[in-house]
Amino acid sequence: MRHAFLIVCIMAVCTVFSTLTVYADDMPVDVIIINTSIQTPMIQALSSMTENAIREAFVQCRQLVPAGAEDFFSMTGIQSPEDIVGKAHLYGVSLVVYMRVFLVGPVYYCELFFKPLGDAIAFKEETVTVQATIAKNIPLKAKREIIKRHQDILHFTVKTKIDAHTYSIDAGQWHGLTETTYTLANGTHCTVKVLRRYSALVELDGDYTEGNTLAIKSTVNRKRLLKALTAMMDENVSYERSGKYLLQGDSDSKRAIEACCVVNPFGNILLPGYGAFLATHYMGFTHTQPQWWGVYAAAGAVTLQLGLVPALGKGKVNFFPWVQDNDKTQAQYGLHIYLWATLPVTYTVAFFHQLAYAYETQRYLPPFFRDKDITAVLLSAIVPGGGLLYKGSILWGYTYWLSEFTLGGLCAYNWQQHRRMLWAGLVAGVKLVELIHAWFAAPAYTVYSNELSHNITPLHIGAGGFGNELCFYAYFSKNY
Amino acid sequence: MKIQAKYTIVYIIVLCVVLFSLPVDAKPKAGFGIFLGYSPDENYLATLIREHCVNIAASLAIFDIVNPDNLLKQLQRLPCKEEQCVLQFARQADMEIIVLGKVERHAQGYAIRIQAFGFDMPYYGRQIVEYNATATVNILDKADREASYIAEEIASQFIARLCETYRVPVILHNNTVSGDYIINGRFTYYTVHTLYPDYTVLSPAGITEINNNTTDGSVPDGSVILIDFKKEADNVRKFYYGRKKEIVFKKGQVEDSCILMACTVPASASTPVVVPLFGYYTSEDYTGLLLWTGNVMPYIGLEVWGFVHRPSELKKHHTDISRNQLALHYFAWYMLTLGGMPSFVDAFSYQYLQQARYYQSQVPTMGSRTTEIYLALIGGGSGMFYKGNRLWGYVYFHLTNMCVYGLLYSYAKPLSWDTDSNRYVTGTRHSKSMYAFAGLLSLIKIAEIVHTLHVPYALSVTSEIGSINVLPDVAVDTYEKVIGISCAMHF
Repeated sequence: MRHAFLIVCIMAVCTVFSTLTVYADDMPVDVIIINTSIQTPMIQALSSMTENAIREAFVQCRQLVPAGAEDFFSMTGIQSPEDIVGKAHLYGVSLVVYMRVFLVGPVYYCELFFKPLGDAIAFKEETVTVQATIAKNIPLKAKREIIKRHQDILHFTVKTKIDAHTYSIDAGQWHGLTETTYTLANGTHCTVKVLRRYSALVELDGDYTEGNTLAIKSTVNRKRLLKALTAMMDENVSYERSGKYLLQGDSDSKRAIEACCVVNPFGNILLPGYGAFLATHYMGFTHTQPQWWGVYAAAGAVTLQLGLVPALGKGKVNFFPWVQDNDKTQAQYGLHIYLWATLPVTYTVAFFHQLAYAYETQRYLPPFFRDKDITAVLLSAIVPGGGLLYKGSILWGYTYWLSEFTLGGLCAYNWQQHRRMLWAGLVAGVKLVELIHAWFAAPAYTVYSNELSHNITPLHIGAGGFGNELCFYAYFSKNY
Repeated sequence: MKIQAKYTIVYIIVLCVVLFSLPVDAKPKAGFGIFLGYSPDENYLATLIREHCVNIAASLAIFDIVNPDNLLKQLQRLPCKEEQCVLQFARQADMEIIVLGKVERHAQGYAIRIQAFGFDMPYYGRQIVEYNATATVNILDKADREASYIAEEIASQFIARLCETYRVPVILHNNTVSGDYIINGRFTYYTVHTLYPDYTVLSPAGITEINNNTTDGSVPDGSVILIDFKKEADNVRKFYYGRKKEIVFKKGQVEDSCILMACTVPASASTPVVVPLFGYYTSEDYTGLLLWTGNVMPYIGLEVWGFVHRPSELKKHHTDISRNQLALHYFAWYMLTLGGMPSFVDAFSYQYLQQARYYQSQVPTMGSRTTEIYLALIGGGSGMFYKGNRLWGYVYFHLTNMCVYGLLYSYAKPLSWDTDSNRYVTGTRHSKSMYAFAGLLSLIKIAEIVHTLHVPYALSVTSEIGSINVLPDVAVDTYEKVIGISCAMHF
């Protein structure tokens, strides 16, 4: 009797439990991420962040469901990491990603090894290495490599045929599906009737059997994801290499405006050319050297601006532009005014040059670098070549300055003649080209371009020691 | 097989527990799971947000909240932390909702993601809502109280989104709704169809009116209605917005508004110098400076032109004074006395709102209804700038300026020098267009006042990431230099 009562109880419990487990989705895992980094405290933190970034990349691409190795062990009961490759395909896993984060000197590296376990997957068996000097960029770069390797097609498999046109498939809300009609790659239609997190019930045109693979256009915009990642790396490098660190808390943007409008002009009046270099110290640079050819070029330009008209007038014309004596022709008068009026521009070009050189050699970035394109355009609108110099392209900056300065001089000299519109038009044309160039030009600072560079392959040899630790290294890498 | 008596007791207890835990029209059981954060500051913010989510959800009394500490302990013990495993755990624990979050540090602040998953009808394990936001703040720079306020605000935004989206199924028996909710209103009722084991759908079967949990007409037994919590969402939003205003704005004094009224003309006159230097430059608001340069400088140019070419000066040379010259002169006076005020308000309210947004300090002058009305009345977008809405501020600024100029142009009587009589002959004004512009200006003014009074202050600590495709927009990609066309509206 007692047993009968127990059996009734057990049956009741079983019945209730069975009613609770309706709509139980399975637990799909398509990708396993295995972190093989050496677990020193610093590397442990970074490798853990990188592992999560890799997982996040798969989640954002919504094609392959990821899981960490430990999680996969607990799901499947696999005891040893070595067993994963041998048994992973039994659990529907189609890719294993091995990742290793390490530090060589001041550079962080992350090595990714992709091991596809079937032909259906877009990933190839390969090793990819990314590098960065800013630790926060390593997870972002690893993530970028994963996103780049995805395709814009979502593959899914028919799990069960329910009736003539109704099937259950192994893709659901997680994969970006919604209750709507999609066009398959083969041109037929697929209508999602019931949606679950990892599966769906669909109506398909055509006859399919269990295991058939179908494809639709991915719902994820990978370009947008990559753009967002680049923006985050850009933000990191702009923040970590900001010139405000040179000023110990003072605002670099305010200092830049003050240096440009007050310190530099006075410095150049006292010491033409060299004053521009001295003004860079107001931005916090110490123990720096000027780029001497820039100093000579600026001093030469100032000399030319002051001495050209007196030289043209064979020393007889008045030195000051506002005095129009009988020896000064109307053209010379116009040119004289122009040359003196553009002296502040020359000072500013010299200053921007020395700043660009200082930022490059000291591995910092100029103020307003988060909005570098707008800043470059604004600077170019005010100072010829200013935007390009701001972005570190010294030669392009000088090219535009020389072109516009020369054409402007010709325009001023010929102002009284018919050809003035030609010169004015040329100046406007060059300025327009410069503005467009300033917007589109990529920053030339090494610290910036290295941080945003793509992956490297192990081909190049390098060696060196760091600090007092006598730490030598040898590694192979090649930028591409 | 001999089974001990104690096992019998355990089975009975389990049976009772399971039977009584079945979700029969009870409040949905909600669990607030792990909110991840890797670094100490991320973890700190994540923990604060989770705590506030639990508190706000509990105060709403629409969920039956699973003990947050116990749930956290259980989830931490779970060997698998992947979404699949956590969802399965939540499902087996009979939860109707589980909330998971993540906080990530970025260069300028934090990215916050909070997801809620539902397990009952009509969700069956799907994600109900995903909240993504960024907060440009360093939580470690904040005192405990400020950090808590920031986290609470983020939590309130998420809970409001959850309440707005979430639907609870309620089953109808004998034309009556049973359960913890008092239901009134018009509802669509659904019938439940099982297309295949594990795949169930709700099909709309009709509409019924429900009064105090009883339907007006006959509804088939077992039909389901979905109730929502939009009112609660509105209440949460209103409550936290009102509370933030109380916290960050000093209590409005009539004297503040009077001082502002008295200072209108000097403030407007000093705009060309004070606004760029002591407003934008001092607070390093370069976006504001750039917008000001593009939008306001041309009007200041006109103001200067209007004063330089004033009629008294032109009369000395006996030159004709056109309608345009007169209008520009009048417009110069308008800009001097009133037209500069919007820029002045923009420069200083931006600073104050920035402080208020991050709970830095209690800011003066802001939040006063009297000041709001006064600024909306003097117009030119002043009221909108006061509330931190630059886009609408500049829209009203340009519309007002154009109408004022049109009005002055129509009002002006041109003067022409008559050489025969050696005196100026006065022309006529354009009365019709003058009245038209006056009418238009009045309409804009009314629209601006109503609009301004209904717009909230730009006080949110987060900028929510989310967009719907609405308006065409030609864009140049900042990072990859791709020119393209996108359709987007940020909201």
